Amino acid sequence: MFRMLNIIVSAVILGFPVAASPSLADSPTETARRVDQALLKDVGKSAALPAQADDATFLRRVCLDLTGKLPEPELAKSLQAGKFKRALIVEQLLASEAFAVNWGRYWRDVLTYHSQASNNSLRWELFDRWLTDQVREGRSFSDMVTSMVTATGINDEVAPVNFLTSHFGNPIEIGATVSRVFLGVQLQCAQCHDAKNEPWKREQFHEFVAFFGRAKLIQHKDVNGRGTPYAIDGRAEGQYAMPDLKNPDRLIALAPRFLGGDAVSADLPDLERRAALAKQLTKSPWFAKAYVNRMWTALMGWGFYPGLADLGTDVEPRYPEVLDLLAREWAASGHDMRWLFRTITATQAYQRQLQPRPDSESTQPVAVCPQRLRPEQIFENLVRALGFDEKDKKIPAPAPSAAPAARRHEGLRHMVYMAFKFDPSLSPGEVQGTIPQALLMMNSVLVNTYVAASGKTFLAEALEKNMADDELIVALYQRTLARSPRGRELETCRRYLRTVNDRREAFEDIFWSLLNSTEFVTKR
Amino acid sequence: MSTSIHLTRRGFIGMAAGAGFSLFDQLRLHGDELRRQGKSCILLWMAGGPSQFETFDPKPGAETQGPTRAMPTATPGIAIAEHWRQVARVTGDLAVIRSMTSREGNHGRATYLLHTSYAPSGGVVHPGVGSIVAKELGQADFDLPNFVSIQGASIGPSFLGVQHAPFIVLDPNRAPDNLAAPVPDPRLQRRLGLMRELEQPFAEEGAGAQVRDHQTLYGQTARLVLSPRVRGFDLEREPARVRDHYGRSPFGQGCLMARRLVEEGVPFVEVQSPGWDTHGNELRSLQRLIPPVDQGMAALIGDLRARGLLERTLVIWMGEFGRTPRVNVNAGRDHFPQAFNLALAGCGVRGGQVIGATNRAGTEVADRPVSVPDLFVTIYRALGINSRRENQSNVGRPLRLVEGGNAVGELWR
Repeated sequence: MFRMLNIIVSAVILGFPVAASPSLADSPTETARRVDQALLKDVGKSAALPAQADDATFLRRVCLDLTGKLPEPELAKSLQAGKFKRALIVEQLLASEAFAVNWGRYWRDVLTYHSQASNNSLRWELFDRWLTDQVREGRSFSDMVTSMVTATGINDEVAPVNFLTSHFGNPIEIGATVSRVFLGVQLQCAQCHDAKNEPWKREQFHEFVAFFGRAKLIQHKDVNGRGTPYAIDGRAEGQYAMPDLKNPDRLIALAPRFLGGDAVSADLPDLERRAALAKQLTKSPWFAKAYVNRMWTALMGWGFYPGLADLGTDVEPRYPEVLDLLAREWAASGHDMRWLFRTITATQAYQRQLQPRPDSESTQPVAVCPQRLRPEQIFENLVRALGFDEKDKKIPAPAPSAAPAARRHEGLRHMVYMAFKFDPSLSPGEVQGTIPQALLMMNSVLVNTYVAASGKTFLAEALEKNMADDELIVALYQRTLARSPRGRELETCRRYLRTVNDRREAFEDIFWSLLNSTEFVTKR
Repeated sequence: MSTSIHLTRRGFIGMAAGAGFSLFDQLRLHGDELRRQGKSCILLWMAGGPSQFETFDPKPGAETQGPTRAMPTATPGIAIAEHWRQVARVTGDLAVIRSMTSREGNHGRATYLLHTSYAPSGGVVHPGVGSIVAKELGQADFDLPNFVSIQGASIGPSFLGVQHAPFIVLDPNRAPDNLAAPVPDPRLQRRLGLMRELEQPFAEEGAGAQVRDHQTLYGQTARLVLSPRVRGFDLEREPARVRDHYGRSPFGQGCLMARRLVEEGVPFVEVQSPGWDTHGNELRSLQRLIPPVDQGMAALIGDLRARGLLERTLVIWMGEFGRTPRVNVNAGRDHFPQAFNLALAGCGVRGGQVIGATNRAGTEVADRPVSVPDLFVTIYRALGINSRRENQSNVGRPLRLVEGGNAVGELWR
């Protein structure tokens, strides 16, 4: 305990983890203060603000957000001892390996969720590890994106090239994904026609795509038995061409041009083209806004823009001043990923009690709204609550849907991932539960083996030790929801124990009910 | 025969469906009317891309054909590749299209195209045909899933929402995972009651909408778990002789499950057969791949016909593309989207006909090219769904079920 606090304190004194580059941005605390000020100015005085969330709520929230897991037992103890400083906890979490893994996986899913690629076109392990490394090492987000957009080589050897090979080196798929994810601009409709409600014209989409017109996908020889690898080869010739709408057999060659920017020469070889794109991309004001809107949405449960790819339309954002401020300061920080996490988690907005998700675009939220947990957060919660070993081969792990051609995981993690996966670029309101998820939580061997009051389970041991009713109820709440029951909930559980009149059965049912509750799969 | 029809929930007035309507009347039908027609679709998906030369477009005498011979069928004038002996008996119900053509030669992209009618494009994610049919023909309060995919994942619902996602059965020889509750029904109900009570405070704390959706989902799931219709998934209820007739392969048993689910009222079932990506040693692979599909597909069509279900069930046999006329150095064929074939039966499709043709060597379409949008307009027309219907997409723009394309009208003539 003391040792742990020491680590936190020294970490803060040493300024660890070290930012990637000398930061010109305001400090996260100062920026957070200005964010809160601007939020409240827009909301007006009349609005009733939710109170500050209690420590247990804050701790579960921030641990799920930063590390993708419920609070480590150690951390929960420091909370009970009252030795708990929110900013220090954030530093400790940001320095943890779990933080790097959690956000590495987030980006993996953002970038490849819809890819139909098999393991040949996408070397998962290598790409995953690379993304996690970028986060751990505090690499600037703009450098990370530049690496992917400009990568060449074999996907067995060059990790970031997998971003391009997973889209089969197809310029249209790559161009559309780059603009959607990194600029928050949906150019898609402009592929076929001039979109009515959007500022981008068909030609502009194809000019953007033309940056990838000389990046050629090549199939390689399978030398190590892992399946045919693919590579991106930079060519010095060839021209991207857009089909003529009136006569699709006629192709119109286009020089690359960034949205609203100057064209680059059509003679530029591939590498120079893509380097020119990366430069304009990461300097674009939309680049910072898209990232800030995405991260704010992931942490707050609502966005400045209603969708993560709505930035290019004439939709008015909520709190434009806050978005501008955060985007400007984050860019000044050198696109430091940790800087934005520090800043958002330091706001009062983030630290307030939950508020209902706004039901219209005109509602101005001022606190965190409930949000569905991502698949691997749910898996970690299950590990914590049930206390099973991820590698246990005795528990059957039938995936509720067939794997994508390239699998991300094995065993029980794969099972839960496949059941609960969703595209992290959806707006929080678009994520819905599914029947296979409910079936897994209700009926799976995994859940029912470990909620049982028999065998080597938590419940069996607790009953063996003759733990008192209330104590055991509290312990179950802590394991599943990382909090203690409220009076009302305690009363419901006590009454249930009396009604059922079979202590073992009743506790199994209580445990089962908590695992199957909305709160177990929701960030609050 | 009529007993099985009366058993179906969606099909109770479906016996006469189609009979009194012209196609154009059917196109105008909407909503409940459409659902009450009780039409269904079974997609037999040959994952990997089946060779047209060794299936339904053999080229006897051409250098490209290789050793596989053509064989006459029950329909005079139609020859298919040998080894398809069972299918050869039901060609009277089958229409073969030999002039399919597309540009997508990559498995992932072509699988997407042949399920959505759109090429993947990085932004808009299009819903698959199974989810579209589930939405258009399925009933919202149905206690089984409206889309079941057997032995593979198919393509999902995208912006149509997870209620139209495929329910996936990985192994038709056993009950789907987690479908049976490990506790007796009353205890399951009691648990659900406790869960609902315990979540009340969370609902009042700002998560009201989430708790409401969650409880709706659990209500639906419990209805599925407790429904008598889950017998549709239980092949143990079939006589051994019927199971043998379909073949004891996963694909054959998948076809049998598809028939049972259609009888229960499921509007879309996909049955996958993996492994058709025959780049090397093609003939040896095909000796393994063809017999189970031959037997399962023929048994399915015969059984649907015998039970009077073929009139309202569209059966589609296809994969994502065909294979090259040239046999490669590994004695296999590579990807070939330029010219490939597929087969359709049921829902009024006139069997015993071939549509379109490739040239003598099978290197290109020589007559009546059929594009992927053409195919999808045709599929939706057979099911009475208007392919110009628009759904609101995830990029805030309405998207037609199919853009462009014309129905292959000869199928009904």
